[in-house]
Amino acid sequence: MTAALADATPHGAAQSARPAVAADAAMLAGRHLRLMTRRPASIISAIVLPLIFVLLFFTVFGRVMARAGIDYINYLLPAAVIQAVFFSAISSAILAAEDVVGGTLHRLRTMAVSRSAPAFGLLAAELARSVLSLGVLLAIGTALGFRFHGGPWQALGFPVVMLAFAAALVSCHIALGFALRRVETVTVATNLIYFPFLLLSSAFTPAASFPSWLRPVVEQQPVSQVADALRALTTQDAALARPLLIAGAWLAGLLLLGALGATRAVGRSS
Amino acid sequence: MSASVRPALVGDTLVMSGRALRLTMRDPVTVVLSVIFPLLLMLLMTASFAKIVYPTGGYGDFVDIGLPLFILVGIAFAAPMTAAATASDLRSGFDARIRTMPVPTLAALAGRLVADTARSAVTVAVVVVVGLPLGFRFTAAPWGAVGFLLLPLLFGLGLGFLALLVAVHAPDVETVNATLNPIMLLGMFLSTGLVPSADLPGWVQPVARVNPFSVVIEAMRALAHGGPTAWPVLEAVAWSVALVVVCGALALRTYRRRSARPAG
Amino acid sequence: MTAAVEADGLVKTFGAKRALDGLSLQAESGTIVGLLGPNGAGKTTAINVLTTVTRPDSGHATVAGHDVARQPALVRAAIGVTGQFAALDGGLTARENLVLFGRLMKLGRAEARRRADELLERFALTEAAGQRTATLSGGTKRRLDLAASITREPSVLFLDEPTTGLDPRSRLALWEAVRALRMSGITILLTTQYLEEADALADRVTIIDRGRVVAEGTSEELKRRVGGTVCHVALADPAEAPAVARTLAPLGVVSVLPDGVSLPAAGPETLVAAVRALDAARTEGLLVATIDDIGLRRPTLDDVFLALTGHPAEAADGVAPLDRPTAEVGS
Repeated sequence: MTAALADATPHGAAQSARPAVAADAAMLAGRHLRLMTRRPASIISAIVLPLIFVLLFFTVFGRVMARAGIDYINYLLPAAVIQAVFFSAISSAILAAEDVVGGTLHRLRTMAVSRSAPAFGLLAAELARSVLSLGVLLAIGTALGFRFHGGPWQALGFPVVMLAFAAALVSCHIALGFALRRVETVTVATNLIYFPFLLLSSAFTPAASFPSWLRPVVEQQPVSQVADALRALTTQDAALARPLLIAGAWLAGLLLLGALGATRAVGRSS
Repeated sequence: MSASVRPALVGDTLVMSGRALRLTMRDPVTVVLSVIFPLLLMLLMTASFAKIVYPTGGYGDFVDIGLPLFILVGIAFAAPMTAAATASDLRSGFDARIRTMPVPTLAALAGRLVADTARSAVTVAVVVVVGLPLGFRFTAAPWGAVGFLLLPLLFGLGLGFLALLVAVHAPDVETVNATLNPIMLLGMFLSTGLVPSADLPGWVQPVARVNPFSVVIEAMRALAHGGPTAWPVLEAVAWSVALVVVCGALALRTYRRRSARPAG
Repeated sequence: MTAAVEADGLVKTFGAKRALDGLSLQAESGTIVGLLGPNGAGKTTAINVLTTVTRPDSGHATVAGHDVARQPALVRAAIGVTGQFAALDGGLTARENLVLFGRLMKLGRAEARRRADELLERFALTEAAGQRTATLSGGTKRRLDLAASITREPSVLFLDEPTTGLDPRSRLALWEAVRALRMSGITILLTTQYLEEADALADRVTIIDRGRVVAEGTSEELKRRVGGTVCHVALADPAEAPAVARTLAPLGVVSVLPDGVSLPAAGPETLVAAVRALDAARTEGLLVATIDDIGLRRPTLDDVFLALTGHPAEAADGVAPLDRPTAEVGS
């Protein structure tokens, strides 16, 4: 009898703790996905908006870009992908803030749900949405002339880099959402981040077209690095090592920042 | 006593716009952002696209030619905000109450647009002031400059009535934004605002030519830089007035019906 | 003296629904008239027509001496209206709302401010004056709504379901405010679903159902037609009702109901007498019925409708009757 009791104590408890995070996160991810499907606006913003921007930019600037020697649809698709990830991240920040404000987070913590599950669940849901956006963008892009010129391995690397970017960016935004807690503040803050980061990057135009005093900033910032890496993966005979390593370093750093930030923020917000 | 309580179009419009302005001021963040947004867009797009669109020119040329578009961006994105506020007022029954007072319907509906125009005037001024050191020039007659500053406000009024037309038909605020934002976006991009017509794809060129945004932008360029001005300005004014009259009439008609039923 | 409000044969159809079906009513100057009826009876449509918000398909109406269809602006100058939802601007403070409405009623800036302060004090709103109305409680908003509606001292005031959704205390506070208004000579037309509200406030009650008037009179007259408070005996076996009815017959006119019997009650004495009679009958072995419940019940809107129209207030679509005596306020 004592042996059975011994089995039921800490050792047994530790065994059930680890799977709980994954299971809880999966359940919460499912909840978020369900909520997303009920809010058509979120689906539209995830898929349609980046698409519209690609189409508009390509339509308006395609010819002038060709004149400058750039195959714009191939150049632009990584920008669309990055934009879709940003929209996902912004939405995750808002959802995180809403969960704090609406009391859901508090309720989850009083239930037997592991502490990090809410953040992981939200992350998983947004990654799923990003994959969906990627699919749609690639489909439309291909119809417009986009091609993976670099071969099958590089083509596989494309979604990997995108998901790494998504994981890093979304986790930072989740941390922001939990920390700021007010939906309006989050909306303003995230848009203030997204706007300059996206436009002051090499996503839409090459860094060379920026004035010389801005060029260093544009070249070095993480969004440009990710855009360059994604683009390298679609180009034939591109030098992959450098852009991938730099992008990788940035993303690892951001992911760490996001993870730490999210844990601290969840701990504080009750 | 009843005789002195007659509906007064001008007076009541001013009272309603006073209210709209007061509410706008209560949310200074939004006001600042709505003025900063076109500015930021101008700066960022100039930095990134100037050399591509005008490889032989400089950044100043892009600002000089592109400024009218950025002014219209600021004005076009103010319209959905007014529309959203109007839709929300209709839902809450506020307009239903005004209906029972001796206030002309036009004043009740359009008083909000006067406040809008005031805010747009600020946007125009700020964008021009920032554009001047960056390369924008008034090289035509002085009255052209006056026209340059006033034309977008007139067009803004037209866009405002279009936005109100959507607001009185829409069941909620999200629908308003979901309907107006694509319209404004397409209007701004599929125009000759950013790139010259010849550089647009073949199928877009006729669209851009017909687009009222292009018409207004071309008129503004003529007013600022000279060249044949009369016809472009006339076209732009015609478009603006048409929007005001057509959208205004349709909006009024639906508004009369809608404000009789409070809360939705 | 011509009536302050006169409606004659108003008809209004919305698509397939005939909201007003020949509605005619009157409100004498300086009185409170209650328009009583369930949801969908046409009360709000009637108010909309009388306040010039909607035009009737046929029939005409005069408010404060002006025809609603031909002189709407003059009507609007003389009336005040509150709706079911306190139609205030949530982003403005209480005082700013009153000043806004004052100016729209052509009071002039200084006058509007003076009047706003006056109304704030009169309706005990000075504390809430500087707060945005979106943050005020339901009861306070309604009081503010009422204050706004009398900005220009209208001769006729329309209150559309003024206490729907309010807690009992706010409701009583609003009733006080309405009674105080009546003393200043305003004609008030108020719509309600609650019999006790019409009872408490109105000089005369008009009952409408499906777009037309089914009864009109003072509250007393109507209750006499319906029967006022009753003593209700609920039986476990309704088949026993006739026997119980016979036992109670000496006390008054007993009605047989699906669930028991009832008889008009002058007050608690009737209840006591009924209990004694039933107890005596049982002791003597004359009565074997099992009594589930016995008590005093005030008439509900359903009772009124049943008596007047032969059908309950709410149609048989499963929706429960709206009027339930919420609190047994001492009769």
